Amino acid sequence: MKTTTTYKLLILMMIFSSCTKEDDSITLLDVVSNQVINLHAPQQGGSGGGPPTPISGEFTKFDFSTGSITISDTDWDIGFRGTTIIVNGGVSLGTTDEPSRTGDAAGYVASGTLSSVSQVDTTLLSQDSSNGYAIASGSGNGWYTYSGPPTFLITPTPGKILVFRTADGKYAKVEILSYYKDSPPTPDYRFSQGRYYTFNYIYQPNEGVTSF
Amino acid sequence: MSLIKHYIKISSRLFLITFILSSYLSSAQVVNDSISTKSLEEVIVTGTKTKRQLSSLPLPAKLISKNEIDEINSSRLKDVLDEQTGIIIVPDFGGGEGIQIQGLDSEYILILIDGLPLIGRQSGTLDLNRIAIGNIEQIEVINGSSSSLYGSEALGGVVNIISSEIKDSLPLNIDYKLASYNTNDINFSTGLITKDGKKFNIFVNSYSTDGYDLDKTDNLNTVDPYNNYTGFIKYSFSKNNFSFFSSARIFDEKQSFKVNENLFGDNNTSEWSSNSKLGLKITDNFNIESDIYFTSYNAEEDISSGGIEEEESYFDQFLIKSEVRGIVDFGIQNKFILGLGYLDESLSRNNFYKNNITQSSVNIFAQFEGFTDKNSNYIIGARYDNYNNYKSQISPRIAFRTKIFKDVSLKSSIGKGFKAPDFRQLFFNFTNSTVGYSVVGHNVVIDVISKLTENNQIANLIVPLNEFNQKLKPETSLSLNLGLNYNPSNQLKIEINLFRNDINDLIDYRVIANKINGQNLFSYFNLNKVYTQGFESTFNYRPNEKLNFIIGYQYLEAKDKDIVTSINNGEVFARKSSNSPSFVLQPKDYFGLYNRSKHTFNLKIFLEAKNDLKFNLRSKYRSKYGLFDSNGNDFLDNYDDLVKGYIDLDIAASKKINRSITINFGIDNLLDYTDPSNISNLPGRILYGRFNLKL
Repeated sequence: MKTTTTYKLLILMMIFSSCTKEDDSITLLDVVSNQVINLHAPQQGGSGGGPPTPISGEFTKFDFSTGSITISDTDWDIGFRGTTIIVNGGVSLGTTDEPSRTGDAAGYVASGTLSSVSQVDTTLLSQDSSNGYAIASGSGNGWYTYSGPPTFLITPTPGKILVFRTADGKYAKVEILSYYKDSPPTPDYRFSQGRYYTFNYIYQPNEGVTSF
Repeated sequence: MSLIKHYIKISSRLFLITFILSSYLSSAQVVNDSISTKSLEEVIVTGTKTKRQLSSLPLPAKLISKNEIDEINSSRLKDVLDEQTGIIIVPDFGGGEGIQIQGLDSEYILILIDGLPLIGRQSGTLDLNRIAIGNIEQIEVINGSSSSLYGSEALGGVVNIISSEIKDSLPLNIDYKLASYNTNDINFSTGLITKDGKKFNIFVNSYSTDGYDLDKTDNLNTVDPYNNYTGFIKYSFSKNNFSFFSSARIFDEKQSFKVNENLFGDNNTSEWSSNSKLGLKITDNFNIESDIYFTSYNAEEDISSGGIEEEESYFDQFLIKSEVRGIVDFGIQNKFILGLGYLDESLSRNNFYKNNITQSSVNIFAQFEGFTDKNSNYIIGARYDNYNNYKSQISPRIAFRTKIFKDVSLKSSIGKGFKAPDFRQLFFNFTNSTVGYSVVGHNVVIDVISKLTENNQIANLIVPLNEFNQKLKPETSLSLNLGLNYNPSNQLKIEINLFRNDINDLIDYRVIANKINGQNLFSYFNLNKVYTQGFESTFNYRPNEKLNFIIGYQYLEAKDKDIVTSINNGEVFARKSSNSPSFVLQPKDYFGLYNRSKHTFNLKIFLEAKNDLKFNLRSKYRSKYGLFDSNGNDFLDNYDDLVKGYIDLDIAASKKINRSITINFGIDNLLDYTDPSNISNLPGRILYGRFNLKL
């Protein structure tokens, strides 16, 4: 996995407001804008040759505050396995190898572009539960569309922005760009390797701030 | 079997009544032979179910003559239709080739042989490669809805193949065509006319091909070798006021194919049909006609690996149809027709919830064809279809034609069309063995879900089950046509027809539940509203008997109304490629429905030179279109990978050696255009020779 990080300047308005307010002792941290390339999210079982078997395998966990994957049992925000995305909040759906939730993470799927989703609607946040995940699984329900025959491709649905509350109560938004290794512009199911996520995200490291 | 017998009994009843009545009347009455009016005027029956002059029919219609079929050396029905303005042949992923008229798919177009429907739409498409055309008198095409006469499926149009009748006794027609890819097409026909006027003819066709391979990289053929046989017999006689016609058709096709290195398959399709028609002239202006029709379509596919069977699928459909029509003539050309019909259908196939599904329906229709004066005429008609499985339908139609100037006439028609849900949409019960998703028919969702819930297979339900207590509605359309014909002389004919079809309650599938394996369970709903609109125009210039020049063009827009609304509201997103960020899609970037080209253009030149030599050149252009969404928003926009526009150019020459022998040579797809991944039904350049013997 490769991570490239660029730090953005504080939003002008924030500087402006912090200057005019009396207690400008609180300095806000910079909003983080980042791209994650080829996050590998393998799974066992499920689809792919022969009758479907129960899905298993460790989730690949990601921590927004460090901007990298982690093997920690507690310090993670979201996890990936195949097309499934979980949050570190709520309860497990009970699939094999699914980690128990230790944090207060939550999420929802917003419609828009990465820049147009600029405010978290906290009323929409939900956590994983025994009935289903905060980011619904299955084609067309959450973040992707499965084309079926003849192209058999998993394509991130345009205009689907994943909004998360992290395990420790901060906010982030994610736009998945590709499910295939090295994010080819025109994947081909015969050659392209799936279960490799490339996504853009914006992380708001300041506690309680719901805008990006 | 007893069920089938029962159906035969019921539907035979209508037929028998007419038969007894007609035999009685024909023996009791002696009236002069009906005067046979011989006219050069082209006659069409499909538009009204009565014989009509094509020029006065107020509906958009096309007539393809035996002559044209012969000159282009076509072997199958799709070859002929592909060259007509406004008709597009579309390959199906299942391997078949369907037809698109006015932007409506094969599922919405009725294909008839001598007025009776072909069955065997395994995945909706009716494969036009099944139909041999060596015994055809003419092909009639009516565009726009004809549900007012034909009921279900006749939304986009009706194609009626009229089989030929023999004119002299003991004719012999032998035709052999050899084409690239070892394609052999053999036609044989002969017949007999007895002294008392009974006509009997037989037609046999054998077609075999080695298939072809467009993509050499994958070790698989694009089309695997196959062969098929068609047999057709026809018997007819008329005496006094009584006429009888009976025909039977059989078709058998076999194909062996390769799925991958280890998996091999065999495909076998067999089909038969039998059609009997009685006509009875009660008085000079009152006729009764009656048909009874049986048809069966069986397809079987076995996939095996090293001699061990892996998968077997089957599709067995059976249909009985009978109809009685009374036709009354008023004045010179006014006609009233009243019809009563009965239809019974059964299907058994794999991946169905029930082993055998049956459905019967009754219908009644009435139509009046009238002339207000010499230059204006109209049709008013309606049909009522009563179904046991879903909502009954009333389909009215009004059409009007008037000569506004000496050489300009105006045609206009408006009609309702419908398509009843097919059995798959009601009873399917399918789980994909590799991916694990399921598709379940609307009528069996409650049963299937409750079983899956018992087995803890359902993670959560997205659509409440009580929604499935409501029956699936037929898809309906409103079809509008406005045409202008300019016919200043015998040499020049210009036609233009504007059309619009608004289709409601289009049936599509959507997710109704998530399964615990993370996959979805889909079912069918009345979801979409779409429209198709555009115009079709033909320019035909025939300066003399030896030259015929035709240009045709169709402009088409076909869109989903809900998508148009969402795009206008700025709620729809797209991506430039499948690895780039999304942005808001602009209304102008919505491409429309799958598989629709905005522009189609054709040019045909037929030339007769000296010494019985004939040449022709035909070309067709189809502008770009999309087969699937490539950027994930589930519909086509200008950023998707579209199929490039292309030209298919064919040339042919024929030489009449003597009175009986003609030889032909030709090249199809002269430009050798291919697109392996998108256009599977366009092989490379094809050379052929054809020998015809007529005695």
